[in-house]
Amino acid sequence: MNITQKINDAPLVYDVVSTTRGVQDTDFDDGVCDPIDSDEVYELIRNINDPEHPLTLEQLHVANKDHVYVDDNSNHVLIEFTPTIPHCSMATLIGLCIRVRLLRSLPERFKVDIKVREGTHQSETQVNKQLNDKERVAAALENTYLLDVVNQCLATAV
Amino acid sequence: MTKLKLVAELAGHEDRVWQVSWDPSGTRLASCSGDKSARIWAPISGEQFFTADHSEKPMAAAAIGGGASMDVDQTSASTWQCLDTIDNAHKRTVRSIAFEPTRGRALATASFDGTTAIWEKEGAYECVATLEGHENEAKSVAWSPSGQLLATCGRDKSVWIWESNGEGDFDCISVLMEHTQDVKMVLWHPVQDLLVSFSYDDSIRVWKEDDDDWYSVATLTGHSSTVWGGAFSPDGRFLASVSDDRTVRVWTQKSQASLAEDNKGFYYRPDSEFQCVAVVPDSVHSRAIYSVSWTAASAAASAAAGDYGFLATGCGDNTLRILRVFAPAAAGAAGSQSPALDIELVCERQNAHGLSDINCVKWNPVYPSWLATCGDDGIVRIWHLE
Repeated sequence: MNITQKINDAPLVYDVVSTTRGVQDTDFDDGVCDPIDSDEVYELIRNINDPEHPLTLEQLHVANKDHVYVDDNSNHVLIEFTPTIPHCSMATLIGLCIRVRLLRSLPERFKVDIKVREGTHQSETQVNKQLNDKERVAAALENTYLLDVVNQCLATAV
Repeated sequence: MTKLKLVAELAGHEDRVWQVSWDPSGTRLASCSGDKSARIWAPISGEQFFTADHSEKPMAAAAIGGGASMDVDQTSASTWQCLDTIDNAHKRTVRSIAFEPTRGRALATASFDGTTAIWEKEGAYECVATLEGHENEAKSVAWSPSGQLLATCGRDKSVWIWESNGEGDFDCISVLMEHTQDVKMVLWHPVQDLLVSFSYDDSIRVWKEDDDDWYSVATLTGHSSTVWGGAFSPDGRFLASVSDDRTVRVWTQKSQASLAEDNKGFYYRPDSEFQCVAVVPDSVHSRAIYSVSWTAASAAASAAAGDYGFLATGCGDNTLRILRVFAPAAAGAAGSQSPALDIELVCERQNAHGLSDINCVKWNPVYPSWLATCGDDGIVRIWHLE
């Protein structure tokens, strides 16, 4: 992908709010089981880099903490992301980056659904279908060029 | 009371296992994986394994570890063996595998590398032919019942039909381009010369030959998302399909009489139409259904009238389900115009592959109460329906 002409030249950039969770009494108690929650999952994806700007998904409001839904009991994660413009051709790639990040970070027991937020992309159905087709995802991740691009976007997400 | 008993766990693949295929004798099982390899497995005792009584075997404690770990027969670890491993069978994931159906000598594999390979065993398995043509990922390969034809399909939206030239190699005789999105699976009718394809475009297409020319005779619509695959009933009367929409649909060919009625007054008469006769609603499966297989009602006696056997489904919700298919008591009358079916869930096994998706289910073609499954956990499992 030679990004000479950017899809969205001048995206709105938002301030980042620190969401560091304060230390709690139970943090040092090994007997307390911490379920995985939306804060923790958001933490995994907020610093993913946008494919065309040196900005994070959080700074662009592509990822939003309120749109991360986690049910630890039923092993389910749903992420809704918001492309900066409704015809963003990077939407599938952004979704793939989020999926790969969670694939590498979450316990295997989680089933992850990734969708563009309703009404924010003109090809919403197609993007969602592709992002949640395990076979298409598996094939994409065997494409070394695409995997390089994904890894670059994930390099900042630590 | 119907129940599923786990009888063997076959560990060896190093990535998710996509598909399994029984050989025509029902005594060998082939599997293929994201680890780019294919494996051939068999019970050490051969066919006796399927006729022996497994009901009295002691059950092992819950966890053995290493992924392979359920209440499997304590003895099972030593009842099956891996006969052959074809390492690096392809450059990328091996997505689909199928034994040649008449003698089981040859094996076909389809890969994300775009090729389909034909393997024959000469000491070890050797690649005797490579079928090239798909632009990118090949997703399914299937032999016609005679072994003369091979169908493949892929992400390039096409279905290819290949004909054996008798010397191990194949010539492409048709490229069918009517799907509008990837084609996920191809399936041959067990008796008639019909090919069925299942697609990401939410449709199922039925293809037929006319004077060396293959054409689309029916498009089955009704699923609201990707159709991952399907299976014919053993007698070929019905076709079950499974989808990302979490439903199972069963279709049948309309009788000639009802077709004639439908086509009265029309100039164009399709000679084959399908109708949906049953739907398992999306409340039964809770995620995408990836695979379905259909077995005759029982191993011994022929099925009672109106009893169409069992479906097994492999689902993204980690549960293996067995569904009984039967004619509703009232509608069983001979000559009935609408052969509606009833389907009931008779047993389910949660976490049949741990907390992983179940990618493929296949009933044994010779010993109909035996089932093989595989999943994202990299394990192949053998089950007995009791």
